[in-house]
Amino acid sequence: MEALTAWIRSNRPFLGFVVRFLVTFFVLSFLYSLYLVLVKRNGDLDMVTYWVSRLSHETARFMGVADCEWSCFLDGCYVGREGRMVNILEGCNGLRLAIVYAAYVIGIGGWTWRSLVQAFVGLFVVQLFNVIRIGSLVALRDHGGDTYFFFIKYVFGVFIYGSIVLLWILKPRIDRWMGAK
Amino acid sequence: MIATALAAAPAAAWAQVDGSESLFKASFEGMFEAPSPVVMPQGVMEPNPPVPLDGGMLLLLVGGAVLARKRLAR
Repeated sequence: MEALTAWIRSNRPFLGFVVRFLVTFFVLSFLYSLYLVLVKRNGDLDMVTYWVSRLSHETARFMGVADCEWSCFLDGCYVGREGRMVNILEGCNGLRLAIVYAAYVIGIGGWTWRSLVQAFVGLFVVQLFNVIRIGSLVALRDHGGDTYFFFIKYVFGVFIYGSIVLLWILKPRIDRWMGAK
Repeated sequence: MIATALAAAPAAAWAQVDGSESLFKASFEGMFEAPSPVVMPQGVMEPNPPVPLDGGMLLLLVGGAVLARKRLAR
């Protein structure tokens, strides 16, 4: 018992992080799930999937996908050329990953204005990475071949998760940019 | 002539009623029947490969905790 108390005492900052990290993650995930339930009840598509699909469509066009089409339904959107479209579902919109990013930032920095600004901006930065990921996916699918299947299975997963870890690693530098000591 | 007109008038009136009834029926025809389901074309697009949804979420949470542990241990 004494060993546990000593361990808790010596790891107090880390335990504080774990509590803030998990509480932020579960609260934001709950709010997002609530939003999804309301949207589904109204018979709409959620705005995050809508905007990620729309911007991915623009990215794919920028990457040279001619005649790139974009259409949304209740369960998601289709982006790409006719017959080679990519189905973008709610799970692909990257918001849950952005929530993990924001939870880490608040977990490390606490409920300060600096953390809240970073978490808020981070939501958009992670979405930017996600839009590049899906836009590239649409372009690869249009290009054809087996590279698409390889990229969707390995490369893009590593890309999106890696981008979040990279932002976490850069956090002390971002703190310094924002004037932290 | 008057007698002929008096004899024909009810017949004409009945024909009018019959006509308006059929019009009435036609306007409500199919209104309370269930619409036939719209058949979406299948197999128009190439099938999508299985997308890994949220597969690395737990890994990312654990990764965040490990990174924080390293950072806070300094």
